[in-house]
Amino acid sequence: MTPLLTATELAKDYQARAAMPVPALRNVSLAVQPGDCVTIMGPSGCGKTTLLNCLSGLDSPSSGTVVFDGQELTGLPEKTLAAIRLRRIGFVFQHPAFLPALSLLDNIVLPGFLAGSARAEVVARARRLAAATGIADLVDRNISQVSGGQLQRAAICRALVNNPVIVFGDEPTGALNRTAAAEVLGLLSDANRDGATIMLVTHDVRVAARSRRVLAMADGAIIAEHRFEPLSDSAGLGAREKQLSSWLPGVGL
Amino acid sequence: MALSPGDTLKLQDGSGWQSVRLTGVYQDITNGGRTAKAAGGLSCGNPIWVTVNLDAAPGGAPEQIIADFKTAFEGLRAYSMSDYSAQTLGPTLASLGVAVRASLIVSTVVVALIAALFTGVLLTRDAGPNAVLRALGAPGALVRNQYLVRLLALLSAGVVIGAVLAGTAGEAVTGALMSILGAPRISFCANPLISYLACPAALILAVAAATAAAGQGGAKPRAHTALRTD
Repeated sequence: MTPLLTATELAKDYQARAAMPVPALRNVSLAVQPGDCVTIMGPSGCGKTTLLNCLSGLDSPSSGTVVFDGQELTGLPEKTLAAIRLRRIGFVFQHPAFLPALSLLDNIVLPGFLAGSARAEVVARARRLAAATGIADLVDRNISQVSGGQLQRAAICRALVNNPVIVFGDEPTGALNRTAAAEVLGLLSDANRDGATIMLVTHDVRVAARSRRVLAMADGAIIAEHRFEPLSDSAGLGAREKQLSSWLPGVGL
Repeated sequence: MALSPGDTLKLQDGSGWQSVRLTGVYQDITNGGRTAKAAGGLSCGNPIWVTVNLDAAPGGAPEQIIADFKTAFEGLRAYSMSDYSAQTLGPTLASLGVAVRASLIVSTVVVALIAALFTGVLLTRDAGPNAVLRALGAPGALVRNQYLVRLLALLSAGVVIGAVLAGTAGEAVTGALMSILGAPRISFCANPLISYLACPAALILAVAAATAAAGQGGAKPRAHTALRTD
């Protein structure tokens, strides 16, 4: 099967003025198959977010290539990258990052409007997603009138409103309590089951336990990979968490 | 000197001190402020010149009348009012023209600078929401244009309010300020094309250019910076 996303020998240096370049990524190569669910784990500052940004076209690597759905992203003009992000990629950030002047519904439909979808069509799709994520009654509220967990559900609705082929999540449950985090992870699992490829950055083994592959990063490089057997039932999640808890120290994390 | 029409003023002429009664006080920017006019009483002997203002009858041709007067009266210097104004107020009018052009240029540059600085402040304040828009895939032009629309709307409101104020209270306020220079009664002779078309167009172009230039920074793809979490 042709990978949906391929990174080859990615490197990224941050250059502060009159200072030595700081390497954030070093020789990272990976491939993500369509429908896969991949989690990147590692200590703070190891380059997880930088890798996610380079893979999603939010940032450009210093060297190496990223090929997304057959199209090389590296070197594309920002306008083209923006169009790809808009129509083919969904994002869920740690902090929901909504536009404060808009209602929850307006924030959810925004990518649809930006993509030029018909208003009625995108609003109907947004309402369907809101119903599926349990926030149908809240969508007309201002974002200051809903909880963090509800905002993160809305963020998932926004990420899915343009039917993306891949959803990137950067610590999507990092700011949530245990219950809200479990609900949000359930929604991402549902999206993955419906065909969307999911790629997450997290410190939390409970998040990683829901994926199929876990990549361990340290000092800007992928140092190990763990693949789970298919999940049979919810009880398996606990077993996966135990596996990860014993695997991570073994790879130095 | 606080005098008003009807007051008596003592002036010295060739035959001694004479009392004259003021008939009017007029603004005269060429004479350091004001000119007082009195009726009769002074013995001037042979005046150096006498200025006589004439109004041409409706339909009369001023140039022909001037030529006729020059033919009829030897040594007479006859001018049209525009030539007379140029001879008596020429340097003043030229200075005013330079001042008006300079103020237009300076005000346009200042408005452009304010627009650029204001846009910079707004971009800093809106870094988070703009990062969201950019991350979602909003084109840079959309981010830039929201500021362009806001500032042009503000400018349009300012131009309309300014035009209304200039048309109503403008002469009184300017007169009050210019009274310091001896010209308390100012009348605006506005050229509609310049006042209501050229000047607003210059301001709009300046603000649009400054906002677009300042907005380039905010439209750059820095979404990852504002959204970074580790």
